[in-house]
Amino acid sequence: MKVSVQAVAVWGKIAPSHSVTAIMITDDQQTIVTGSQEGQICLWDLSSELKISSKEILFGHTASVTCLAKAREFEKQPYVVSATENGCRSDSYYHCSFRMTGEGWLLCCGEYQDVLIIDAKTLGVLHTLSSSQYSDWINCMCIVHSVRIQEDSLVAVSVTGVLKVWDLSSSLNSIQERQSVCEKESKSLDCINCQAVRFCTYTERLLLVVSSTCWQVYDYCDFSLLCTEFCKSGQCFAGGEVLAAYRLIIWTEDGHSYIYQLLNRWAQMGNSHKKFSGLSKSIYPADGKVLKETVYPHLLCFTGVKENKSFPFVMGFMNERKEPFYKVLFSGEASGRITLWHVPDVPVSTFDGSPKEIPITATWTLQDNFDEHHSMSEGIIDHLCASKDGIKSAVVSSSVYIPSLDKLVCGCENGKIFVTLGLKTARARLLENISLLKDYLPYKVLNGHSSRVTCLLYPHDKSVRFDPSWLLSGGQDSVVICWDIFTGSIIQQFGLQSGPVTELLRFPENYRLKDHSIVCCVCSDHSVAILHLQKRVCLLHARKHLFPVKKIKFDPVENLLIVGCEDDSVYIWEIETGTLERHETGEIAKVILTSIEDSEYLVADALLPVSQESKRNKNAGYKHSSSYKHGMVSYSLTHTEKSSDKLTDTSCIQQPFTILPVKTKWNNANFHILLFDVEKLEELLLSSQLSGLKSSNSFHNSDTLERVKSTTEKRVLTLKRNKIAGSISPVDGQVDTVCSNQVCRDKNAARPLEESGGMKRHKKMKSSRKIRMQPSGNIDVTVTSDTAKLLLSCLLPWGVDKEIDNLCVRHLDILRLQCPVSFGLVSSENHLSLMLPGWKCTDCGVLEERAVINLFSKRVIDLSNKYLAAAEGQTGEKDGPENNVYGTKGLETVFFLFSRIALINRIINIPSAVTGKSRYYSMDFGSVSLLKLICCWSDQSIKIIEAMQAVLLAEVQMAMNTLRKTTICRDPLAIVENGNGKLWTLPKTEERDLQYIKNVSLLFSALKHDKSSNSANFQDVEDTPDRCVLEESESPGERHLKTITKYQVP
Amino acid sequence: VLTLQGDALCQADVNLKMPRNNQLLHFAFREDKQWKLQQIQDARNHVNQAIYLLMNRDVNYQFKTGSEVLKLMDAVMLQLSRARNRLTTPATLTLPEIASSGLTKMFTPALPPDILVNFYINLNKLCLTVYQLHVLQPSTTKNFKPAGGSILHNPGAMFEFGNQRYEVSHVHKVECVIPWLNDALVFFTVSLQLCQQLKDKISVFSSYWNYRPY
Repeated sequence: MKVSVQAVAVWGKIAPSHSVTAIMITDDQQTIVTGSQEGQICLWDLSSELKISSKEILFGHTASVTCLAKAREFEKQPYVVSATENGCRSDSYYHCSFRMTGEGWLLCCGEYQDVLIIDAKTLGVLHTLSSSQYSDWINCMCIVHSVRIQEDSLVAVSVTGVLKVWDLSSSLNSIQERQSVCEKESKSLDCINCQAVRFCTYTERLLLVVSSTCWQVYDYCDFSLLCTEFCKSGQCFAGGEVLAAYRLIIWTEDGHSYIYQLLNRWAQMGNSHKKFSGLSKSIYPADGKVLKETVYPHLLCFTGVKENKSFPFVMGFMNERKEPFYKVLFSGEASGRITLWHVPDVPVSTFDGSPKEIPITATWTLQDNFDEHHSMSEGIIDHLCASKDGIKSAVVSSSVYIPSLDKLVCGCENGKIFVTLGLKTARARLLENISLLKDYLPYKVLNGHSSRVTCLLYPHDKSVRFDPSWLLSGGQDSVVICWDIFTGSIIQQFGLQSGPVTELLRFPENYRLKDHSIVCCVCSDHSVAILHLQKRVCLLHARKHLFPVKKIKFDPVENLLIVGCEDDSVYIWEIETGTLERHETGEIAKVILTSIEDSEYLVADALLPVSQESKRNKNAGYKHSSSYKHGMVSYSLTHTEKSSDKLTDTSCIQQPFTILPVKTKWNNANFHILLFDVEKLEELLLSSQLSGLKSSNSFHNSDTLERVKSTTEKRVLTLKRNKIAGSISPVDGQVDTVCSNQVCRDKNAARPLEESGGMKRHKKMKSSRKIRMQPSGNIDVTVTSDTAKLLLSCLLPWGVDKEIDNLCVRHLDILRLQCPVSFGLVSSENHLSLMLPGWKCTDCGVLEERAVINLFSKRVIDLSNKYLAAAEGQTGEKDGPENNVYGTKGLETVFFLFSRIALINRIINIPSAVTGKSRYYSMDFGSVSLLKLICCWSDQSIKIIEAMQAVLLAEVQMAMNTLRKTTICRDPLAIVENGNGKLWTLPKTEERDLQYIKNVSLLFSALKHDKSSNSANFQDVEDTPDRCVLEESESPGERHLKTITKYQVP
Repeated sequence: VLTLQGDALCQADVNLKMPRNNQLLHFAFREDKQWKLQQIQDARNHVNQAIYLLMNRDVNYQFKTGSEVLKLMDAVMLQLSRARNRLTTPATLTLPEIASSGLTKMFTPALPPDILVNFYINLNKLCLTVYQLHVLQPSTTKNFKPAGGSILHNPGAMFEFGNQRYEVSHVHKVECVIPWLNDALVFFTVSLQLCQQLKDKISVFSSYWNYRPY
């Protein structure tokens, strides 16, 4: 189900913080990949003029990213592997770095002995390169590929400064046979804290070793020291690379770099040094002592940064000799800034011999992008604040979405709390020309906090025992306020006087004492307070913790509060008396924590890590909307997040539309993700349409009959589909009842709940759903269709064709977008990628003058043309009814378009399901060829978004054509179609995609289990263009060709 | 008799009295070899990294923002807590891993094939475990279930190594307290607390960092 979730990000004015810890440039010099301390990975576009703009951000890791490397030969598969440190488990290895060999292995070194060999595809550990003596952590390594010796070897330097060499080529066999591989050579160098080791491929002789205090050049043949250069005081060398023969670039931790020329005294004296460097070892004296005198460094150029930099830099260098590419020195810093220097091919010093400075070519941060596209990066409630003149818009510091009431609650920096309707707010934020909507958007401002609102909690969400009107907020001022969400009045105020409140937690369900309306709050002085909401007292304020609170557990039998701290110690408090009963550390503490975990009284939210812990703290409020929607309480209970550190949350979204607040770690930037569940939405639309039809039957004339028939037919199809897909939720099988059930609920939800006990009412409704179905239909229609329209207008490429735009606005009531939106992609493992503001600049620069917004790529137009051509051949017979549909009722069309979107989504995401039931779809979808086309797209690694947009564009175009009653000659096309026969390409696709899915899940599970290498593979599958899978590239090439030519005929 | 020098076990002299036949086994480390205790080595490396993090700036370097210090403290604390965790939590090894480790080849006279040894650190103690094995016949009716990873395997644990199936028949465990490890652990705790106190003090002012007048 979750694959059908579409995400739209609504960014705030402030970019999420991105402290760069790893940086690389892809081989085609078009993308920069950065990993951050926060665990996100950012993709940046690099234009041919070396302009940087951010493209996408990938959420997957929860710990700091330490290393990035390409995972495949770039031309074939632009996959990127990222590695993180993961300090959660003490028995695991923490971080690794990856290098690529020709065999599809990754070589990793890190905080463990020796070097691991990892399969580049599955990320499983294949083997280790062990050392026979002085085995220690490896600090850095490089692969030496020498044409002369015809052998690949791995040179590595350990933390204690022992240089080791492993033969890779000759040990290939023994690795495959899992025999142990020991180093070939081992030599202790006189340097500690080695940062980089590089081999000069130009001379095949020199080995550059950079340590933090100095850099040294060694002779690769006998590892004798040739020259040493120490760094200036206050600086630390961080890495280096060989630029050309005898030319080196060394960079420091504070963002400076120096280019050195190794001067050869012999060369200066005599002829050109070429003669010598070209000659083999025999010319040089073997003992290296003479050679040592012949080489000394000379500083040629340097680069630097102007501003003071207290943050550490991560730098890299890309040496490309091919023409269109540049020699680029790149750096990323902890503040999130990326800087590029274009290093000239032949760096020269100034005439007087002093070093020359190379200017910065480009520099960019995420914030720059956010500033540039400020309309895109407006926060979700900014327009609300702006409407209140005189006040600068407040930055949202915390927010929570209440699905049952469709309310979005945002706490701001200035202590105000805004309460608005979620869907309406999103519409007002994204769409244009609805000033009406904006003005009448109902919202409340709750004034109570004197400084920033740090956390919000709507306790009724998950447990019924809380009053549905209660909303809790905690502030920087150490005050917890309990609000009445409907009236906006303060019910109770708790002054804790212990620093900012960092987290509010609901108490577990099975607290068997008293009235249960108890919440737990964690303050920044590491204290934990237990508040009783009904009695309005603070039951316990546990203040003894020395370290930040990591876990809060609760023993209901003995009425104990168990607090686990970050230093692995455990404090046990007695709730009744408020006394500290025990304080344990080490093993005993671990045992206590785990024993409680095993007890049946464990409740999920008691496990919630405190916000400081989780890198991206997901507020828990939006989860488990399912219990409201489906009445499947059991389902939601089984799905309680066990580890909320990951993005597990989207899995249980049962509602078609949800707003997910996301908080980043360091700055308080907060953004929201709108999640649309396409499947669910389609289902809802269907049901609403049906009930709508029934209720308004009298108004329709003869052709409604036809329509009803068609819709019911479709409904049957979805029914069937649901039976198969609905294995997750047993209730799904009976779409009918559930939907009607839902209708009631929606009505219920749309009306503000005046009195308490809303849940009970829900239950009552459930029993009487059959009776209540009809009258409540209308409300449901508006809510779901509004949601559908919002998604459609987010998807449509506005501005491509003026007429289409007008048609959509006038007939379909799909409103124009205010600005391009950032779409996101949720992977099957609930990892998330989001487009960043500014993604569109590079891709459709040509179309810019026509004020195109929201076109995902130029390819979309081509694709939609292809689709049009393919569709027109088939839609001849279908045209009749559709014609009427488009002409008469906008909602129908919206629904039709929407079902198409859902279908495409399904096809691309779960091809297996499609093949299984393709005969149903094919009826639904018009023709097999269309289906084939879409499947073909998924082969060609066209992004879902692109495909959806393309199809939507084409469908809208078709709709418009029928509207205008223009006749298109489609006879020749039909012939082309028929002539092609039934080339069934699906199984292959499925196989490939399945494999991919398996692959990905494997990779992510590797992350979860933090095995020897805690690595997740961010294969940007849908995100990276031009993906082409290896096994596909040979044989199916002709197939692609065939299909392409087929569709390009028109 | 064991001699621990830094992170390396440089001498070992093990006397083992077999209960089966009351036979006294004696074996010692080879003269030329020493056994690195990976836990101590890792802990040392983590501490080194923490020291490097703290030392790699100028003597008269001035910190400019609080968040800078917080980030530094975070990094240092991460290393320190990892170092401590390495000592407090021994690796969980499977029996084949123990059997294939280099430790078995370190002794002279060579270990009999039915004996496995393993050294590890647990808190402030150096532990030696000796497993006595007996070979399981392939035809035995006992259902074979290979044991997973564990710090200390119990008698009855089974495993497969080199096409032979073994079962642990006896386990002997010897512990000895190493005073300096105890000190090290105390210092880890103290230093972590100090770091945390510094962090707490700085974060008191955190509310003023992003203070902006509205």
